[in-house]
Amino acid sequence: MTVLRRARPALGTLVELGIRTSEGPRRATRPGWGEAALSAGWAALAEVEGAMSAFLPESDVFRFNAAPAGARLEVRSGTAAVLRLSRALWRESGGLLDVSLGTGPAAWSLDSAGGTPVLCKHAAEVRLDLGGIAKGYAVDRALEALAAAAAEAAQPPACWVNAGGDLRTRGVAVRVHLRDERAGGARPWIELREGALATSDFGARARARLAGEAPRARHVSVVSPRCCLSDALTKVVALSGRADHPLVLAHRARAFIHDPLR
Amino acid sequence: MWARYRRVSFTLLAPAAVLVAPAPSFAVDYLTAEQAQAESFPGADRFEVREVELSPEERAALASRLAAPFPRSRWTLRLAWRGGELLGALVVDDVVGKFERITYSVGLGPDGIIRQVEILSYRESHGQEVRLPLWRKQFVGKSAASPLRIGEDIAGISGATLSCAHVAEGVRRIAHAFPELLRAGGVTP
Repeated sequence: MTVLRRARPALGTLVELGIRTSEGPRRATRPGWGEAALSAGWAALAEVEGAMSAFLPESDVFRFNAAPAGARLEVRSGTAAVLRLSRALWRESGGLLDVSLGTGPAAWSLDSAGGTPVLCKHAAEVRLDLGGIAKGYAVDRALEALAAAAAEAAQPPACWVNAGGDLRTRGVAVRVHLRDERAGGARPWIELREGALATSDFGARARARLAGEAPRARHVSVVSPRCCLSDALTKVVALSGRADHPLVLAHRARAFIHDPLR
Repeated sequence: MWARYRRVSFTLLAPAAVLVAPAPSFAVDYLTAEQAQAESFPGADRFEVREVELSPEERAALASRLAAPFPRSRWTLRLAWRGGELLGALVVDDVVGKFERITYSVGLGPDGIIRQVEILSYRESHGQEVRLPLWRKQFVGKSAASPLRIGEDIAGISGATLSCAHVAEGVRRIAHAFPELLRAGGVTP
């Protein structure tokens, strides 16, 4: 079995792309297709980061945050997809998942009527931060790019993407080590064969942020079919303190609370 | 057919040993420096390794320009040549994070523009090891290094448990020092 595995700094963390390029006596394919697949994966990641990072001036999120009230901004289709999912999860979670981080969950809307999606800003103070969901979405897009390249090379997709704990795999079993965020070290925890796993840490010094309320669980993982969903659901589980939150069950996900606070 | 995959399949691994043993370490090697130079400069027909040293004055000037410490004096430049033309150089460095040590490479063109950053290896420390004075010593001068500069150089999206802040900081250090490194290596681009 030949595996190509590379890591780069991206999305504010270390991102690893992996693809199995051969297994036993398989048909011959174009040489170098694995490297080309990795390039496509990096490009997919960069595209999501370029659209949704709050730090890049050309990003949709940066432009929205800088815009005055009443602004109507054309946004990229990926941004629109993440915003649609965010809106749906905000409703379904009773407001627990809020990409405006409390600055105005109802003060933005998406108008997709005219073809190109348009993001509308209804109040000057509303700010968007897609950090809690866009990283998972970027993982999904990178995985799809890898899988598409494999399919093009007449190989069954066997690839994975891991962005600092937001991980998705297709056709490859990945043994996931759970990092001890306080004492260091990592212990073998789960073998993910298909699907997506996101782990978030909401401790006092953690980088992840939640809107308003204090979390009821600190260290949370969610397994679901898509990484953007796993990523978003970690916040719902942390804020509710419930691994069996109805939203988790509704999305056929499974949640783990590693370190309950109360 | 493959695109329709929308399922989840996983197994929890046995936690038995975890209760008595310290958390095991975790490490991945991605690339050697030789592989990284070949991937960063596919057009090169020859690589040349030069050991260079920056003087304390040069490091002090860099630290002041960076507004951050510049602790390292000895560096290895891996020059990429195609015939007599310098395509650029690869610089390998490592950084220590909260509990991890990361070795990475930066490929730069002769103009100093970054072409590629690759992680060469990742080492997560043992949970117990980080409490040993010898391991702690590795953090000295690095943990307190400088404010995060992720927003300026390599964009960050929050939510990660593992930060690339130290790597971003290291890449920035190397990019600033590159003209001095070339000069110290006797190379005039």
